[in-house]
Amino acid sequence: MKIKAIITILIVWLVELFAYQRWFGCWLFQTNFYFTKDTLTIQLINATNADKGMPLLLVRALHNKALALPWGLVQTLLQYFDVRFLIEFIGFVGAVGIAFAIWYLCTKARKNYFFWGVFGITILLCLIEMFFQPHIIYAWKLIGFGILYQLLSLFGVWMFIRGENKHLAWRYGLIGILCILTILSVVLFPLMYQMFCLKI
Amino acid sequence: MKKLTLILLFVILLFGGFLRFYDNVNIPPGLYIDEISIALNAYDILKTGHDQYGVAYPLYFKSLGDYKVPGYIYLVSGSMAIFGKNEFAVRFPSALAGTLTLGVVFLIVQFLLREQAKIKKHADAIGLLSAGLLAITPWHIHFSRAGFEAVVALFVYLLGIYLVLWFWKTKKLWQIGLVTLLFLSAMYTYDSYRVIVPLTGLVGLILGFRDSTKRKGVITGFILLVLLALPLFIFSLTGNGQTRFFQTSAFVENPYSLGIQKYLADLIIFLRNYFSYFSITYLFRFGDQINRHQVNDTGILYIWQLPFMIAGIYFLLKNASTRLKSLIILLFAIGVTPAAIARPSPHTLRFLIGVIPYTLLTVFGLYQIFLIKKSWIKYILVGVGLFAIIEFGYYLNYYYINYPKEALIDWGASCKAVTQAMEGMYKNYQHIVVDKTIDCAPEYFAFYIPQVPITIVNSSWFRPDSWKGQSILYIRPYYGNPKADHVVKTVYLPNINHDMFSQFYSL
Repeated sequence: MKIKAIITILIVWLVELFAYQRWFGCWLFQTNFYFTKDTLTIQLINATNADKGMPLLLVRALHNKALALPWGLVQTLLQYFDVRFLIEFIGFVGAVGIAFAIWYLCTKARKNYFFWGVFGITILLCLIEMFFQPHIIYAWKLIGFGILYQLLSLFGVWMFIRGENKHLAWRYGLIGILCILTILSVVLFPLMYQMFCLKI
Repeated sequence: MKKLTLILLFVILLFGGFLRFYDNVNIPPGLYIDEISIALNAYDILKTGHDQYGVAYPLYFKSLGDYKVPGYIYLVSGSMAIFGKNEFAVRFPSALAGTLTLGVVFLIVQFLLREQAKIKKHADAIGLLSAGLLAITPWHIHFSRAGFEAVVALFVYLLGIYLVLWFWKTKKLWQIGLVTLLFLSAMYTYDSYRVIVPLTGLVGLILGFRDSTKRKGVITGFILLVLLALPLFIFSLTGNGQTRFFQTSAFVENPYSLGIQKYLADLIIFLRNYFSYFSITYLFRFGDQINRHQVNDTGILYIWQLPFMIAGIYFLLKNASTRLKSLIILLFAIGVTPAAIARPSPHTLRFLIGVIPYTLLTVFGLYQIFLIKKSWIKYILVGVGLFAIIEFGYYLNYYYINYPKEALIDWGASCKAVTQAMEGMYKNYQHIVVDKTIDCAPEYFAFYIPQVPITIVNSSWFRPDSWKGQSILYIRPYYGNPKADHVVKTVYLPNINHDMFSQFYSL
């Protein structure tokens, strides 16, 4: 049974790599993945432009860096866990795998510190990418994201199909279907990932 | 129901109503083209009993290149009978239905939970929380304030769902008759329900068929629904009925046209679209990026809802009320389907039904976290409460202050400004000529200044010989010369920069 699960994980990994390899044709993520000092300033200027006639105190209370910073930060961070982005990055099976991983980390694998660590490092890498994008070579960060996302999703898939679960045949079937959908998606729509990155 | 619950529900309805009705004539800042078309048809029906094309009390209204289902148009007719031919009358049914939806959501949640042993003592509180959250949700406020058929259809559909729940308990046949009528009304009010209602009926039929006490009712209801919806189904199969489907079909984007490749690509398109409705950047950051569907720079839900939604999923899957769980899954599964076969996806209006399960998930997560008996929970809840208040204030500021200035053209406010400027001038001219490139459909002039005869022309227009010596008011877009010869009026937009939109020439 364990051999079957290991082979499945290997297949899932290859399928994820098949989707992921396209991204080496890019040189940068789209602008909505980044949050810089300039972004914050422009956001605030845009927001206050229309506030003509409003009491200054209210304008300051609603549009200030202390509020806009965490808000913008969270909104930009969400981009890295967006299902549409993940489907393009590591395929349908990878996106669902990451959802499984988060589910299992919150339920059955609460004490799996290794994968909590992987999750934490993923968020850290997202933050680094958001703030220091021009200083890091694209290929390096792509490898970083690739490894972390795939580790997480493979962990999720592993937990989903491991021996002690019920309805194993159904679970393997679902993973198989997701792998097929990922391959079809990459073959039939090979350029869709360009919605999220700038091409060389 | 306790007295306190009733009072709180009343307060929520009042507050929700205020958010939906307050200044909804000016914000959103104009009637968009579909609202105008609805208004013209409704007014014709009210005055003559015929639509713009002379058909008496039609079941489908020909409008702007396709056919509209009639529900909202007849409602606006009624509204115009009370309030007259104005913008408020066009938006009144939507704002009212949006407000009443809060009450129906309360009733559904309370009904589902009050028979669950573990939760029943909190059923009222969870119901009130659900109604309260829906009252302040940007997604629902935004659409309720304009004349969108989807808001009325959602209200009617949810009322139908509530009656289905009653039928499930009492098994009275008259209830199923009423349910059928409500579901049918939803189908005749908004296109998406042509898919949502049959799927709901099918689920009801499958569930009810297993139980001999409900079998008769569900079969009767389903047959009645099919029979009464037959004209709509038949129409949907005709060329005219399919116009809208082909205009918006997601599968038009399929680059493959032959064999199995085409079907596989269709499947992938459908799945991508389906998943897009669960995208967190769609829900919390950008919306569907159609300016008419949300305020720029805010999502359609509040960011503070996200952790509670995740908690809601967790608690629902772990241990919660199976009936609430079933409803949420049903609304997600059925609600996304019609939206996912259309383009663009995600499309916030077509998936308006989604606001209900997302709200229920948030409230359920919030409630379950509230039950955790740890001292730090209250600090977290207070913190989130503060953040929620700030986010709500932020949204109100964006909606009431920024949005009317930023979304003028999306809502046709520029065309309204042109018609208003014409009002004081047209009597001095024998001919009013409007350049096509101004991008105001003739329907705008027909609605705001029906008494003025307009001639729409191409940019290459020249004064015809037969008009020699006659006075002409020529209206065209602003082309860059603020002080051009013969300009008698300049129309400025009430946006941030007060941009020039159009110039009137006296020829």
